[in-house]
Amino acid sequence: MQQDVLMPSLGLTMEEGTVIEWFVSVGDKVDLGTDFFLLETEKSEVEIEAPYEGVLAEIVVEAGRTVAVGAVIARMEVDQVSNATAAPVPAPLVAVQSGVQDVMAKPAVGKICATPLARRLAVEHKVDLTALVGSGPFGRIKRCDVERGVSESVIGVTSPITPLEGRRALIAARMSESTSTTASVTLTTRARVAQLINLRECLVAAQTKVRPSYNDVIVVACAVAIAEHPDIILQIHAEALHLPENINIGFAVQAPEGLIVPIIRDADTRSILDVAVESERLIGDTLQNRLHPFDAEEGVFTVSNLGAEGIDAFTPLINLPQSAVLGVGAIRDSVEVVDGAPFVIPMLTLSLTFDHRAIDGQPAARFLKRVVELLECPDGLRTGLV
Amino acid sequence: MPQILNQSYSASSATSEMTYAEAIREALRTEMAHDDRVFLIGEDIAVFQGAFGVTGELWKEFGEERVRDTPISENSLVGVGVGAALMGMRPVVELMFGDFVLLAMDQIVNQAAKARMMSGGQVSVPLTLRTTTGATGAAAAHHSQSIEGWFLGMPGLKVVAPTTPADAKGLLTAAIRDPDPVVFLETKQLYGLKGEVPLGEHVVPLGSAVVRRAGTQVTLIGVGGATAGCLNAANEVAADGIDVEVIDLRSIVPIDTATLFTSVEKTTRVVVVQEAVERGGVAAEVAALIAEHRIDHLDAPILRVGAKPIPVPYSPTMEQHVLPGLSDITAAVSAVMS
Amino acid sequence: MPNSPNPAVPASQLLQFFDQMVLIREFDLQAVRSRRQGLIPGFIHASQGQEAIAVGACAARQDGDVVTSTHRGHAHHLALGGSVDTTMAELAGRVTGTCGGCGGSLHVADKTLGNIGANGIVGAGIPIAVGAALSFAIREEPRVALSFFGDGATNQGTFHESLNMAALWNLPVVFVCENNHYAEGTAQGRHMAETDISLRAVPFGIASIDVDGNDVQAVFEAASTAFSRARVREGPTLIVANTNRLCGAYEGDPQLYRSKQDVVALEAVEPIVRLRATLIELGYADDTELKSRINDARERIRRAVEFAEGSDFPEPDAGLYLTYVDDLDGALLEVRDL
Repeated sequence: MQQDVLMPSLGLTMEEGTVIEWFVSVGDKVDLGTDFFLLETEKSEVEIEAPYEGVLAEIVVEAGRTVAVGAVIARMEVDQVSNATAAPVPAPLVAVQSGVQDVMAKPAVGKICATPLARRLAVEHKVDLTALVGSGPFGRIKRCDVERGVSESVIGVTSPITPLEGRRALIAARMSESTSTTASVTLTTRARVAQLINLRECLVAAQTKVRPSYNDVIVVACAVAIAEHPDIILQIHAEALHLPENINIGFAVQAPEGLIVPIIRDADTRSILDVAVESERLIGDTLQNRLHPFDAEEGVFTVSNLGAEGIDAFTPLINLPQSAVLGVGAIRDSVEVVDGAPFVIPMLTLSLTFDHRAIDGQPAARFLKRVVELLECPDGLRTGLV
Repeated sequence: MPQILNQSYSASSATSEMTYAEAIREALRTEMAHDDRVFLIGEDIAVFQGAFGVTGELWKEFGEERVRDTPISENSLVGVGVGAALMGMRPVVELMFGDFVLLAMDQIVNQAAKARMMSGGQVSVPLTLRTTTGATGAAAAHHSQSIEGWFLGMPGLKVVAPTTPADAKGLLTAAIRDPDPVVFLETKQLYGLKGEVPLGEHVVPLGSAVVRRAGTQVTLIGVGGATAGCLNAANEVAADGIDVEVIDLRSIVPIDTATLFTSVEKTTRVVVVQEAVERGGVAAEVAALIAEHRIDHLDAPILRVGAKPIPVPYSPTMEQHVLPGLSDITAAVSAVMS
Repeated sequence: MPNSPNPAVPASQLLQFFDQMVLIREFDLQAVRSRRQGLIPGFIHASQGQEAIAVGACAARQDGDVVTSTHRGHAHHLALGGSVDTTMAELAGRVTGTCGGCGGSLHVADKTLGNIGANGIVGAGIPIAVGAALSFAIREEPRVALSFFGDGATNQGTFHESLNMAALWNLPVVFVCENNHYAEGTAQGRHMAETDISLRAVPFGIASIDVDGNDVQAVFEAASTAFSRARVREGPTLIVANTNRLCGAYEGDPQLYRSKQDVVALEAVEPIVRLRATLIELGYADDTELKSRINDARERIRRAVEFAEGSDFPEPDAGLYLTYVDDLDGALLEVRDL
């Protein structure tokens, strides 16, 4: 049967190639791996081996001509059985492998000072050498630098190409829906959290049952503020606004497979220590991949805390069908002006994203302001200490 | 009568403590006792008992025919060894100082090393050339050279440089039994070194390196007498938390790349140390082999430590300056760790 | 002038000498032609004019005796019984050569014939012959080693060192100096302070014989005497055979050091011319027969050229080459698996 031979692609950027010379003639029997023709690209001259076993039946592109990648350059008469296992179109495979080669051959890499071992590991782990700072002499990148780069890179990517499926696909779909559906606006503000810090430390010192986090206090504060400003949890369903009954507050947890938001039900009825116990359970279940669906549904508000990663303000995405999400940043000492004088005060940045379809700016701002008040003076919050 | 040649072998597990020099004498005695073809030839090896006392009283034991003093005729006495070897004898030729091999290079290289090839395989030259290498302190330029690297480019010779008494005995035995010419380098400074040596027949095959100290972070390869310095350096840097693996290269031709490569794959860092001039010697060949075949395992450039390219001076301060010292080795180890 | 007739030497032997010398002459004449035509890639040193020494001396050899040769070694090899076919093939670098094409003209050797090697180094074969003789002495074998060398070689250290050791140890060796009065292109008077070479035996207490090197009978007698003495351990002998080289020092030598007339004069008294005259005078052969013998020799040489031309070149990857890179029968191991 006839088999077309195509102009192969040797790199991600190769668009066309020139046949310099044919090494075989029409009528020649050709084995796999025989030198077939000499190809010139913008980068180099390469001897291309025959992709099929058979007889060269026709030369379509004579020596000297340039054609696009993928164009038919020759036709071969091949034995159907023997080529059944041959790669149907060898060109893409070549392209993928050469793509990696191209990455390595980029001039930028050539200027980088890195040990051979570091280079090999960088290729194996898909770490960009240009993004690394070397700890060796003359800034030479060593193995330890690459290993550090690997550990700091995206969690969970282990192979060059992973199918989009499972949790990741779900998250992708939901994030996409959120950004395309909601009219999201983000408000940022900062709270003075000296008293919050004090409160948490007292709670940690006062009991050994659980170790409350700042997040646990924030959840309680939000619950109180929501009760006072219920508009913030209005939801749009089928052309109507719904007000949920239970103040179930979710908090974002980064599991290995992706973001998960377990729910603390009726957060307004819980003390800080209650919330701490509950959140500890939920985090444990989440990380061990055994979170019950009940604990992940019917949330009306979400708290997303990136403070541990050193983030200040950010624009959290709304967790549909909810209408608002609170982004929590890091607590940092900051020089603030109080009564005209500068003081070093611990400050916490808060970012509230709300869906302007359901809520307007001022009500959202008032809600946020209330949260700030509660965090700056957390005396009013129920601690759960007896 | 087939003899064990290419594998490690000890006839008995019993050992005795003896010096490096005594171990060499033991090897000579053992081989001469059971193989009539073996005889010794060299200057002052009989009545004088050897310039360094190695041959001792072998002349009394085996007679002056088989332990033969010669006139001072380095080139021809090696030539005599070549002729005897061509006739099936197993001469062990001694050249007192490695520096003197230069007088005999024609017979060693043009004749002994090339005979097998030139004759189309009709003959081989089972000659063992024993000579000394290394500085001893104030021996000056004509008596101090380390010559391990001189024969790398001369195909047809095997070269070994033992660093322990047991290895001295085992390698010399293998050298004498080898059907081709072997240069057996005795590090002068080690003649008095004591160690446990297997009694009776003891063979250490040519062409094998050995790990003297296991480690994980740096491969420190010692050429001949420099191995002791490597072990000292390893102990010193251990205090800084650097874990060094020391390899005694032991065989210069051929080089045991398998052992070296296994170590490099583990540690990713290499320093090669020799007492000879750093330029163009064994360390350069080892470095090139590792760079060529294990480049992707290297997390640092390969460093060499060797003597400065100056004829060894007489005065001790100058000599110390020229020859590599412990601090040179530890500095190199630190450099590859940085 | 014809040789003085010696009834002790039978006609058959003289005719054999004639055949051998003619064969050598025709071989070397052809070797020159073949070198010019390209069959022989390397450079050659022909022996025209010196055949009587090779033939006469080797005729005195017995089985088991060995010979070390020089760079001008075709004559020695053929005189020992070497085949013109395999010798021509060796010069042509073919696998059918005496050394498998590995040695070439300068290293022709055949252990079975007692030729332990031509040598590219002037004087290098002398101590090797002494070494062979040493092995005979140690093993108490009634064998003798003969060393060929030229007048130039008597200036090498190895000559003196070897004579000294041979005399010191009373070794069964015969030293044969082919004095053609030139060391390469330098006339004897310009390379020797004292041109009487036989005097060089005196310091070592060695017997010496001066002989007309162009008289094959005389050479044979001198060599016979020397061999006999050596065989019963009466001591080594230095034979100084005076001869002339009719050709250049090597093929291509422009011979700037002498005139054409000089050469013509030498041709009048060269050994084959003289033996021919002797044979005719003694009635052992007539002109026609001698011419016929010469033609036979030429025919054998012609066939040798055919043999060489029709032989394969050695495969680089096979056979001997591998013994330098593979561990065969404990042979040299140069390269390990990397």
